[in-house]
Amino acid sequence: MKKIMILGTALLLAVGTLVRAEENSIPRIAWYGNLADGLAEAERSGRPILLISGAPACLGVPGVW
Amino acid sequence: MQGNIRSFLVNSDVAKASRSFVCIRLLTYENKGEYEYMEGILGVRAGTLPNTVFCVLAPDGKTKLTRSGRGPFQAFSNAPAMASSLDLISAKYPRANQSAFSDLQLPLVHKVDVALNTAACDNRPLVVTVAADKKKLAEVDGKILPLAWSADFAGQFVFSSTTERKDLRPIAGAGDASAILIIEPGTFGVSGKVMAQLDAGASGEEIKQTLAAALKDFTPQVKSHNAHIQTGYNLGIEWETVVPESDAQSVRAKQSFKARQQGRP
Repeated sequence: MKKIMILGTALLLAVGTLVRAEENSIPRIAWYGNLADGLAEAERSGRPILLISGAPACLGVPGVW
Repeated sequence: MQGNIRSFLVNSDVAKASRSFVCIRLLTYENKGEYEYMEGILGVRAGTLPNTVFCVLAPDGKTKLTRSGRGPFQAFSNAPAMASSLDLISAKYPRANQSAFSDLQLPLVHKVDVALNTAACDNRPLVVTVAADKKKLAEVDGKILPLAWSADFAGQFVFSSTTERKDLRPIAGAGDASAILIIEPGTFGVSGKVMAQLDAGASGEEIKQTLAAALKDFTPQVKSHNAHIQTGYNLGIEWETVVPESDAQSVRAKQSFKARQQGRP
């Protein structure tokens, strides 16, 4: 029983820290990657702006948001 | 980016609602002008910008249509509420509601190294166009433009362009004559390898078929956040920002993590 509990806890921890690999085909937001181009397109097209910013590194390590 | 922000942005209804918006994702510490713009949006003291910012804005880029904050969770209770609110907002902008994108430029991340890192963070393939000068680069980009905004490919790739072939040094397999490279980013986004490449003479149909094949072949990585950071430190991989990081909480966490790694309390 103890072994099962330890295994279960380990599994939960593992699942909790994994960044899930996503399907390629799901719809995704098409992001402009710089401000000048995005603002120019918003002005031209009259579309409102969904703005977000994030650092492409966690605790200084790149490859994760 | 925090998991709670991510849960809003990967929601398929939010993604569909976003089609009526110009979606701009900035990289917080990679451009001083953008940093200062976000300070204004968030209304924080100079030099204190947190590492995430969120707001919905009018097409003028100044008028706030939602509360600004660190993430969509400060404006919406959950992802479905965000999707509904985006639909309501875009309904007020008749020109926003088109059946398809008609954007006139590629959604570029300006520097190839930053784009490579962004692609690794997003777990998406990177498309880089390269040419000897801006005129030739514009011709290549023009071929990809309608595909980048097509229903099949919008949002599926990260894009970057360069006239400097040396920018391709971190990318294994880049041919000297290639004008369009589709790249699988490495785990840490500081390297990558070519999945497919085409020269400047490729037809629109050839590019379309190549993008489709790359998308089919691309396997998103499964990353463990904690193990990723630990391995990054062990390998000495550290990202140097253009603007010094100014999120006090994040800076403290980084210092604390480094101290633990060095065996200090």
